Amino acid sequence: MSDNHHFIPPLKYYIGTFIALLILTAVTVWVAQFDLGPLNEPVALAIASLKAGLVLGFFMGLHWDKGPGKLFFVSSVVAMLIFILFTMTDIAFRGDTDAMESGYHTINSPVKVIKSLPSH
Amino acid sequence: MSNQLVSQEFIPHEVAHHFDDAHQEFESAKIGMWAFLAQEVLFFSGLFVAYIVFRYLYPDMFVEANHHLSWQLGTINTVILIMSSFTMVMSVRSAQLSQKKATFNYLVATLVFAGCFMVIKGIEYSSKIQHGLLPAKWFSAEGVSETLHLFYGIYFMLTGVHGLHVLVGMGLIIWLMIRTKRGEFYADYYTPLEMVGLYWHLVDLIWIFLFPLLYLVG
Repeated sequence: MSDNHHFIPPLKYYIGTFIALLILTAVTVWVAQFDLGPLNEPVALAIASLKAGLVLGFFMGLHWDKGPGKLFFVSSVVAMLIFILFTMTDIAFRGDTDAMESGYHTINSPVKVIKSLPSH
Repeated sequence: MSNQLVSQEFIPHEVAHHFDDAHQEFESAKIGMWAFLAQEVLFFSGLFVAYIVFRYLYPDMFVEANHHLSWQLGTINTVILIMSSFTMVMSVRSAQLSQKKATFNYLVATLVFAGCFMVIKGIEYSSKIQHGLLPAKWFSAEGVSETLHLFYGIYFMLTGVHGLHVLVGMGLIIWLMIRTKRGEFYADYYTPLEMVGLYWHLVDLIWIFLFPLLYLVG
C-alpha cells in the first residue's frame, strides 16, 4: 500500500481559488447595482460560470484529474443545455409559424392561484 | 509515511478483495462519485428550466420578486458556502498529510458554516411565510403581481432541494468526524473524505448559480 502516493496539490491553488471566489462574489454583487439592460443576465451568468469553473478545477480537482470525471460532468452540462434549448425554442416561438386561436394555445395567459379557481 | 505512525494513530485500511490495489479502489470510487454528480446536475436542471421558462414568460414579475429577497442575506450565505468549501478542501488535504487533528478541526469548521447557512435560510423562510409569499394555493400576499406565486413555487423548490442537500451534507460531515476521530483516514486512505468533499463542492456550485438568479438579476 505504500506505493500508493496521491498527488497533493500545492496549497497556493486552494488559497488562490478561495480568494478569487470571494472577489468574484463581490464583483457580481457590485455589477448587479447597475442596469445593463439585456446584458444583466449574461454578465451575472458569466461570473457564476467563472466561479463554477474555479470550484470544479481546483476545489474538486478536475484540473489534475486523469479519470473520466471531466467527461461525465461536461456531458451532464451539455444535456442540460439541450434541455434548455429545446424547451425554449418551443416556449419562445410557439404560435410564430402557425396562427393560434385566441386563448387556446397561448402559453402566456394569466396564471391564477389555484384556490381562486372555481374547481377548487 | 512510516508504518509505526500508522499503528500508533491510525487504523490501517484494508483494500477490499475485489480490487487489485488501493489506487484502483480510490479511482473506482471517484468514477462512481462523478457519475452521481452528473446525475445531480441533471436533477437540478429540471428546476433551472422551470425558472428560465417562467422568467421568460413573466419578466416583470421576476423583477418584482427579486426585490422581495434580501440580497444582503444571499451574499452572506454565498460567502459562508465558499468558506465551507475551502475548509472542506483543507480537511481533505490535512488527511492526505496524515494530520488527524487538522482534518477533524476543518470538518468542524465546515459543519459550523453549513449550520450558519441553514440558520440564515431559516430566517429568510420565516419572513416569507409571515408575508404569505408561498407557492400556489398557500400564497396569500396582497397588492403584488398576480403571478408572484409562480416565483415562490420555484424559489421554495430550488432553495428547498438545495437546503436538503446541505442537511444531507451535514449528516455526512458528522459521519466523517466520527471516522476521523477513530483514526480511519490518513495519507494512504481518505476516500470517504474526498467523495463527501466532491459532493459538498457541488452543493456550493449549485448555490453559485442560484444566488445571482434568485437574489440579484432583477
